[in-house]
Amino acid sequence: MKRRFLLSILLSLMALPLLAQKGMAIQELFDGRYKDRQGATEVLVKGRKLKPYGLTLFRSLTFRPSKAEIQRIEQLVRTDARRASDKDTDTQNGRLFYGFYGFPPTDGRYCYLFYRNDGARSGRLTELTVVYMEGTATAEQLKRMFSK
Amino acid sequence: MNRPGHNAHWDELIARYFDGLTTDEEERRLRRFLASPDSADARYDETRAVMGFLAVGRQLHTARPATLRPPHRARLWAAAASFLLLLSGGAGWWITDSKQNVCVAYIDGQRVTDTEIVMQQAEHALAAVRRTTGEPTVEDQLTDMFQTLQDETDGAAGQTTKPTEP
Repeated sequence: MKRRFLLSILLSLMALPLLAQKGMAIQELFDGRYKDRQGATEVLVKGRKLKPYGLTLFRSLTFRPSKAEIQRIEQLVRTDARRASDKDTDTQNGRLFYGFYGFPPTDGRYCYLFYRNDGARSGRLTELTVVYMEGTATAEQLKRMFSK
Repeated sequence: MNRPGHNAHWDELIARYFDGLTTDEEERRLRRFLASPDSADARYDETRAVMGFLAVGRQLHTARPATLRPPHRARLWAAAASFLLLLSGGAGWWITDSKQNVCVAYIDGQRVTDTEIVMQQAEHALAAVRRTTGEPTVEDQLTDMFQTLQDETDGAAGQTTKPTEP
């Protein structure tokens, strides 16, 4: 009886990381692999600080990726883009230069993904930024906020 | 030994007992008689049974109550339980609050929890991904390109020399 109880607890704990990914491919970028990287900035904000913006989660990553990393990140973004209900993209020199993706709401919660690769225009390896947000704010509300 | 006068006395006393007219002393004497060999006669059995039953009942009624746990020990347990509950509740709240409210940035490998700096970095990231107004879209750029080619073609039609390649 005790063993079964402990086993069920263990299985539940193993399932937690899977739940945390929420089905987004780009969550891979926020698993801590860039935390110690020079030149990289990773931000995580949850809860109280985001309330005025109608958001519950904000994650961003800005860094100078290698060519292989750019390809990998683009792949992740395109994977998630397939599920997006709202898209605005820009491609330059065959590379994804800009991407905004809005996803269908779940339990009143919207998810947004932003992508920008400044190096796509020039072909040089410059800064790449990925932003992921969750919240009750609609895309229109976000646009109004960002245009200020 | 049967003594008619003696038995009549006890019979009368028994009758008065059942009528509730006997004093405590008379009851005591009656009990002693019923416990003695002089009352071996079967006709006293009923009286003996009743008095025995009542005696047992009296004993039970006047028995001392079971000793209770000292009240202060129960209060100590209650206090300890309340304290533990408060402690675990407070710890639970703190853990939940820590998990639900997070503000952290990793900048060049350094962990930063200064709220102002973290929110600044968040703003920078948003600014970096913002599509600024006036920034040409792909459609705009293509339109410009074709317009340029068209202008050059129109210009060449009015000239004798071949236009240069763009």
